[in-house]
Amino acid sequence: MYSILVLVGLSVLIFIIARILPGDPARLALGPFASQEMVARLRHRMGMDQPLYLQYVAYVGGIFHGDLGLSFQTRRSVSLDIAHYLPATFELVLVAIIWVLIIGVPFGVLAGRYKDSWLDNISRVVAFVGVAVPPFVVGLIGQLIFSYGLGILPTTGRLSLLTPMPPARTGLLILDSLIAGNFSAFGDALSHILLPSLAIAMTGIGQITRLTRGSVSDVLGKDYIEAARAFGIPNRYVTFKYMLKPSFIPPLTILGLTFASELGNAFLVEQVFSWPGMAKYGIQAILRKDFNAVMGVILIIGLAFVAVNFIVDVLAGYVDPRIRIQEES
Amino acid sequence: MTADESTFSSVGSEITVTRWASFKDQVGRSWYRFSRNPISLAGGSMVLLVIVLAILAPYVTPYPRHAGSFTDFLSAFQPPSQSHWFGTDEVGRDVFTRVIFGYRVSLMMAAVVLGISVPFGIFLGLVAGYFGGWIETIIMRVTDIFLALPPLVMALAICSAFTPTIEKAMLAVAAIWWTWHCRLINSITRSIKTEEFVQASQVIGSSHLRILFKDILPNCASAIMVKITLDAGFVILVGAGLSFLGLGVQPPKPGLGTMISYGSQHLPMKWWLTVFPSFAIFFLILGFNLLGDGLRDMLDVEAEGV
Amino acid sequence: MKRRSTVIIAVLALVLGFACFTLAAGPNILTMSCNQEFGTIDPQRGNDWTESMAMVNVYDALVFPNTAGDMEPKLATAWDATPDGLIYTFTVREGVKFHDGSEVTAEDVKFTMERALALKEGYSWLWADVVEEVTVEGNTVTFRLNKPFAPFLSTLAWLFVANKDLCLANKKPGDSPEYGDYGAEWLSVTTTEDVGSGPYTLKAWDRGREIVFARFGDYFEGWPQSDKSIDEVHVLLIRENATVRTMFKKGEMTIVEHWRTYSDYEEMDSYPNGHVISFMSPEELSFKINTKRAPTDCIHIRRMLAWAMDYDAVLNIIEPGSGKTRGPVPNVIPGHNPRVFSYYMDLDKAREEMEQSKYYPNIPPILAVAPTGLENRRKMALRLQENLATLGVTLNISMELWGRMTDLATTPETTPNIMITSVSANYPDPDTYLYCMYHSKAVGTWMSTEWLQDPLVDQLIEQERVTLDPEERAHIMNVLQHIIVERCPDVYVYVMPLRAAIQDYLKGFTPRPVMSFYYYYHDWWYEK
Repeated sequence: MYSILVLVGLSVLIFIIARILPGDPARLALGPFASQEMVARLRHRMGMDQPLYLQYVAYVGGIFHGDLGLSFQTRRSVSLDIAHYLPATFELVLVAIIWVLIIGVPFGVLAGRYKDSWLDNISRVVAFVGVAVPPFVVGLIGQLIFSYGLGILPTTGRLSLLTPMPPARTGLLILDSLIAGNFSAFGDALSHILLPSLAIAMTGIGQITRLTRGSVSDVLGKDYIEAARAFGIPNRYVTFKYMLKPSFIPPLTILGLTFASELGNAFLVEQVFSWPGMAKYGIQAILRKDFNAVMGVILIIGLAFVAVNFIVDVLAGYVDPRIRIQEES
Repeated sequence: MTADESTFSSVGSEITVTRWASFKDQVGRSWYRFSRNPISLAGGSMVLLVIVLAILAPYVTPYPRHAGSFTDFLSAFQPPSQSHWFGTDEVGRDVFTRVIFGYRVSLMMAAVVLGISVPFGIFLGLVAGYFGGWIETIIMRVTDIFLALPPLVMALAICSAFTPTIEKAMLAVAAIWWTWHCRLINSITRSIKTEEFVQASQVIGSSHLRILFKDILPNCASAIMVKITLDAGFVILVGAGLSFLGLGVQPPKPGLGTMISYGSQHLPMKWWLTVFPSFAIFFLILGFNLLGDGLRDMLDVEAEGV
Repeated sequence: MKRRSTVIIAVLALVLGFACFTLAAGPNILTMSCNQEFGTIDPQRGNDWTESMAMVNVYDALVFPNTAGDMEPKLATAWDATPDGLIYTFTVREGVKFHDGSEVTAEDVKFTMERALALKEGYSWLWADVVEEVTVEGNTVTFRLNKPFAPFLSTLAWLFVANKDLCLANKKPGDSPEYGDYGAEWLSVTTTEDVGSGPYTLKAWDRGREIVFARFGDYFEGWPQSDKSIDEVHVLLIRENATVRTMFKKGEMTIVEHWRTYSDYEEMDSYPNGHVISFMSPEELSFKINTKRAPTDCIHIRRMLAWAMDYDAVLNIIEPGSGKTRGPVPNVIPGHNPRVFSYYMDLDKAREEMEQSKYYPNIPPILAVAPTGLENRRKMALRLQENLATLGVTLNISMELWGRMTDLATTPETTPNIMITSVSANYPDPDTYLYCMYHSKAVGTWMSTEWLQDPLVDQLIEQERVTLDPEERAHIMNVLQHIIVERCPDVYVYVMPLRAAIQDYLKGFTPRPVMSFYYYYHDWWYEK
């Protein structure tokens, strides 16, 4: 219910932003010589000659049929365009989330467990650097070192030119190439996604590391851990059952925000790596005032955010019964 | 009833006295904690260094003219040397000079964005948290909508509707940034308003305004301070992203994100155009983050959202 | 982790190396970079340079421009026009096949013109006001115009003939009761089909990444270089100059298009495996001055700008190899007047003009707008800014998104004092510049931000369009160019050299003075 409210609000907000973009996207799409009549015709076809509220109603009505309107830029339906570009961005963000989880969480746990050790100090540095470096800088410097300097990673794109695309099943090249049993394409796709996904993940890694560290050290200081130890419960059992499980809750709850910030980072990083994804499409749309496309992209991002938060809430409820009870009451 | 009233008012003044004493005490302890923490000291000095450099830019840079209307195409693309520490750019201007002047833009951006959005966010957060009910519902749902999109994307969408000047970029970022402060203050207010001294103030008939600004706001001060420090870094980060995408300062003004954006076109041969401004941004944001972290420890803030 | 990635990379390198090796003996694959997305490959809807390039290669028109800009037969074997210039008759070549094997007929040509006029997109503006009726008789097609239009023949190079049967087989409901939407929606979605007869077919299209064209074996002009011709062209969307350069260096990129910066080409020219070709394009860069906005509504201010421009810095340092320009028509276009007045940098003369202005001594700041991402235009603006600063005049520079610039151009109030843009030829005739930039009917586009609206200029342009006698027309053109330069609506800076970096083994690159016709893959072959 609450998520729906956010989405409705978001759609209104986006609609307003898209429509106050001054000027005439129809003229832009038709090229410089379009006559007034040609422009008027296209505007009519896009429903732009109707009052704003009717346009909004029509737009929302369309959304329920999966129709996001026509893109001026590609002259075809925005849903088609997004369906084409979304998997690339999804893959990128997904891999970035995996980086955050497999680097940030273990690192944070170790840093919290061995507070003030050299590991903890390194985690601090990683956290601060991760949060302070703009993602496009990570991308550019990464390119400079690994692509131009050492020549071991490709500079841009999802796949080398000479590698044929594996047949599209999921749209995620890493999975598709595995399904097709094409290991050279798999390796190629991995080497392409390595830098951009890390560039996107840096902020998240920094945040999650610090948060996990904090909550682990909090939990460790709790009396019940001492008590459990005093009762002679095996150390490993204490670590997993009493320490790790509760200390995952704070990082888990901000995972939704991490996801949103990674999507934001994708807007910069896809630009740096020529990653043919939705963020790049979105930037083009914004530059060309292709407002149906702008709205489509922003709506999808909002939708993804709401969905991820929903999943996170469910997971948090699973890990922490208190949250579940609180929500039920 | 009347007897009760007088007790309450005397309790009120007592609280003020003890609060002041504990404040002095706290400052002393806080400063001790702050100065013992090498990280926050480092952050503080980094930020201070940048601010001083930015203010004194015309006096400390070797070629202050290069920050303004100046071209010297024949000395373009010189690698770092003794006369040009960070090399020269595609127009022949000294990159070091422009980086220092570029700090002015970043700091200005942080100051303006936070200057607009913080008071606005604080006010709405106080109102929402204090009054509750449908007022709170409306305000907080609006912030939820804003938070459903990454700040950069939102700012980009707003920005593209106007001329891509730094002023418009600041407004666009400010237009979304208030939500964070609003949420922070809202949650603090909600927890504080049930405390005794607020209830006491209510009972003695203080006006809502007085309670909001005299009783509740001061108790948010340390959280706000930490939040602002950390936010300064984030705003600079978002600003750099926007100008990297072409929504930044107008030439010939130097902006760090814009410099990286132009410079990255000349990678890898003219690496200095990208590397030095990148490092400069990193340095400043890191400074703010370290400082904010230090302040948090010092003021012992553990509020949600900081 | 580290060791595994090293292994992966090593395996990868081996596989890649092997792939390169096997491919070398296979088909001739050409890779080309481009800086912007292909919006469509519909022959009646595309208009920018990438879309035009797709059209030039996938479709055939009745006529085709040669290197001098004259029209040569393509789908038409011969043509004829009545002396009043109202009726043009073309004989359509027989035996030409569309990519689906059916034959190109006069009926397809008629359909194509009707399709263009109905869809009202792409290049249809060229014919919207003039073409009255199209009729077919046997293998001839006749265009009847409602008024003489001197450049008509040249414009037909953009009438890329579409396969009528195929379009109609895929039509969706639309405005026309008979033809529906002319197959427009189908063609906007398909990624493997086209409706052309040109030397290349659309093979694959991965939006945002690449578009692939494959050789059409049955092309009617044949393949004189036989197996040395290009079998497949992969056009890759890459915005970053650095990436393009690296790929060119490694040999992964056969040809780098003309939208990179001078220093990129300079660097690529130094690589041992490739070189840069450069020729004068029909694209002229100018500082377009809004003649309806203060202070540039004053002609002295406009002349001050023209005197303050550092042409030498542009020609020698910013865009080395570019051509000095005189007036609004580039010299590669037949009909260019080489005797019009040409400014040079002279700050004293600039000051004199400034002092004569009605705004002197308090000249309001002048606003110049250039598109984001084009470094050289920013440099020119910075140089002008510096020069004007010595005169005490403020020039504000704003880098705007291209979309925003076209918006600003729609009214004289929103148009900035100066727009730094370049205008290219849609057909090799001075009319393409003069009409689009200065005629009152063409105002409101990014090409006409001068807002000149001068009755005499309008009258002469109209006269030139209906004058069919070449000598008389040339005379009008010459006078027209003089008069326009006299009004000083632009600072004409330079004719853009068109540069492309190509691998040494690529032969046959042929410059033509019409946009995108220089990327005609049929010209090219490999000499390895």
